[in-house]
Amino acid sequence: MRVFGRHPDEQTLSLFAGGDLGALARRFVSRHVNRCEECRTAVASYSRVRTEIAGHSAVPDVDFAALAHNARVALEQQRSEIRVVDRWRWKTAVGGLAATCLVAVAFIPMERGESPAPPVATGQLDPDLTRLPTAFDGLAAQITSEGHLAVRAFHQGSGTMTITEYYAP
Amino acid sequence: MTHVANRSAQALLATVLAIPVTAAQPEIAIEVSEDVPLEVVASNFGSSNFEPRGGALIIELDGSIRFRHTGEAAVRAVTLAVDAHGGRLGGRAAVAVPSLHARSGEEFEVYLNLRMLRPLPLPAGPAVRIAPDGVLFDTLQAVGPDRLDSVRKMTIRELEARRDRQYFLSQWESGGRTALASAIQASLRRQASRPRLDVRMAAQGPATAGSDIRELQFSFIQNEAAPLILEGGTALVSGMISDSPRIRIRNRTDETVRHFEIGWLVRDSRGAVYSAGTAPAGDTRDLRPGATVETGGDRRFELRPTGAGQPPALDSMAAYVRNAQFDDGSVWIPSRQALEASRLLQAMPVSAEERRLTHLYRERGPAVVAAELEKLTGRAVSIDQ
Repeated sequence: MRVFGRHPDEQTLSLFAGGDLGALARRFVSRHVNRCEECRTAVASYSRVRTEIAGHSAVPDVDFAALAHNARVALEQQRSEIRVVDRWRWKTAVGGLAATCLVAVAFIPMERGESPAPPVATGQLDPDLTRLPTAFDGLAAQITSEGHLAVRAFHQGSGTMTITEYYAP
Repeated sequence: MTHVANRSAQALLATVLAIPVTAAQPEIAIEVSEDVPLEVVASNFGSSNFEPRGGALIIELDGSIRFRHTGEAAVRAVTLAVDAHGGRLGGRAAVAVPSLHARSGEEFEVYLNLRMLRPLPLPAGPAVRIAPDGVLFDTLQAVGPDRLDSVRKMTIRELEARRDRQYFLSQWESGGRTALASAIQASLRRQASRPRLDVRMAAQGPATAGSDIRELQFSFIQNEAAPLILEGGTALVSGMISDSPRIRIRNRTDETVRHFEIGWLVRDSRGAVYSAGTAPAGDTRDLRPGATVETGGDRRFELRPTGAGQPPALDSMAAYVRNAQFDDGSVWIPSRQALEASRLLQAMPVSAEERRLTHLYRERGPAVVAAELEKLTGRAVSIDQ
């Protein structure tokens, strides 16, 4: 655990978010978090993730190690983003000029229709990562004989009924 | 070269200013195998949304496909397999549309609205593949790859639909609009009064390993005409979480039962009875004459009543034979009379067709239901009754 540096590490922040730190460490981290917007955002994100996970029952075969890795990566990206934005604030004049030039170069050809690009993650730490497909999350579902879940729904307008089965691995 | 330079500039801009680059919509492929007499006339998935989140792509698939029927017998049902990297949770689904009536050369539309997940990065090729897995005709013949056991499910739904259409048609024929309206209103009342249950997959592990873990014994609602007898069953439960039940079943016919479905009813400690769906059969298949098997499976389910607050616990469970398929492909379903006699009609979910017809009645009135019955049964129905 590191609480005396510039920022507490993510493990410490996640423990703090869950109320799992000891009294002394909690006091240190609390003081830091009160002053540091970046860490406050991270703690809020961890709290949202905890709430989401508590709200949605866990499912078989979820790779929680991978999920935690994704959350860590996203958090790092978010921190980088915050730092970049901070830097940008300090260098508004130079950045603005560069941005204007780059926009002129970059976006004109995009409007002509570029070849498809792969999706790019936005780098937000998003608790919705833990959300499951609709059938697991909101609509009334029934168990099938294969142990999957099925949902009936009507298409408004046509009156067509569809039965959607969601397969669990 | 200019192309590369422009891309580099965009990437640099996105990095420096942390502006997300707008990505092109991933591809949705619709593939129809040669033995399926359907032709894709049009498709529109413009309302779909592809959202990268961390290491996964959340796919909100929202759209429709218009098919033309190029075969001979009328299409009665279609099941589309939707594959977004099927090996993972949320990666595979099936969308079935029952009660169609598309004759040769006619067109019909299938609407899809579901959420899926697939891991990033996307490999080359479509992000989602949609393909007919089975097509059922009004002759009860079927074609298609049937990788998702679609033909059996469509056949059962169609037989249930025929049973319930016949019931509503007989009401119309015996008492006209008044009798049909009365029967449909009774069904709507049953559906409205029945508490709904939302089922979720629950995690393996400590969920039913707590101090309140109990073993519930099943009670059974037997049907004398059913090819199977339910002999005993239990399920481990904790609160509103239940493991897959273990139900012992005996084949009392002299034919092999290839597949069966056991309806699963649960009652909570407040006395409300819910349908949880079908008890997972596990690996039980091909039940020989006189043989006994036990259903199972390693899934665990959280049963959440919708609406009212969470009741404290599951109180009891019941099971009934919902359908069975014999080795020759023929299917047994309970008759309407047997359901009424056993009072199962009050507890089990109505068939997809009964649900559809009652919905049609509520939205468009009895004349539309009568016209629908006429179309699907081929019997002349006097709409003016």
